[in-house]
Amino acid sequence: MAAIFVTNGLQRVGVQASQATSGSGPTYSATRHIQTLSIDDQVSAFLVTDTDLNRAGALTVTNEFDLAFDAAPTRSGQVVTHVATIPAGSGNFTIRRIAMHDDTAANVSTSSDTLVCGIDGQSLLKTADFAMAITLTLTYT
Amino acid sequence: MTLSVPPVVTKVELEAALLPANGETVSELAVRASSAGYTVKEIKDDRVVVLYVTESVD
Repeated sequence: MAAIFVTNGLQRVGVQASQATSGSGPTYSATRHIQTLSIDDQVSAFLVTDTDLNRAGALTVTNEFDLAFDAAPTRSGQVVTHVATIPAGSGNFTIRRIAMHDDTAANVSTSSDTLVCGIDGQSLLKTADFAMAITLTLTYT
Repeated sequence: MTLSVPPVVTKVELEAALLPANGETVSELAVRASSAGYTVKEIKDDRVVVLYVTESVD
């Protein structure tokens, strides 16, 4: 189990903070901030080189669900909190990985080049009996 | 000039919580969650925490 910021994600944080442009990879965009949470059932750990959930097709992600945060993330001190509530009828599988992405939920998929960071190695069965609120906090130091 | 800084994001915390439905209380939700096989980590005012993870960032 590990929490990881992939390289592309670190680049995204950097270009957004400094409004920096780049000829390749992440470049500043007013719309490409961290805004979507995903859950999936892939047992493989994230790698720093990952840019999407299915590792450019090398992994098979059978079940994936993503959605926008409930509201804009909040900051307290050096901690930024992100919350997304998965409805009872969605995401009903064994959650192995939770990730955050830098594009809208409409543009996030298992193969979208949007991965910023994630936690792997979980085993949490979600059923249609419950809505589940996922809270993910990042501490910047 | 190049600044040498420690990692920017050093810790990630994850919480997964079940939410009440159809007017049930959190106590009732906790019972329902346990019956469904969840391990209840904490009962909060408005939710029942079933997963809590804190990890240093690699």
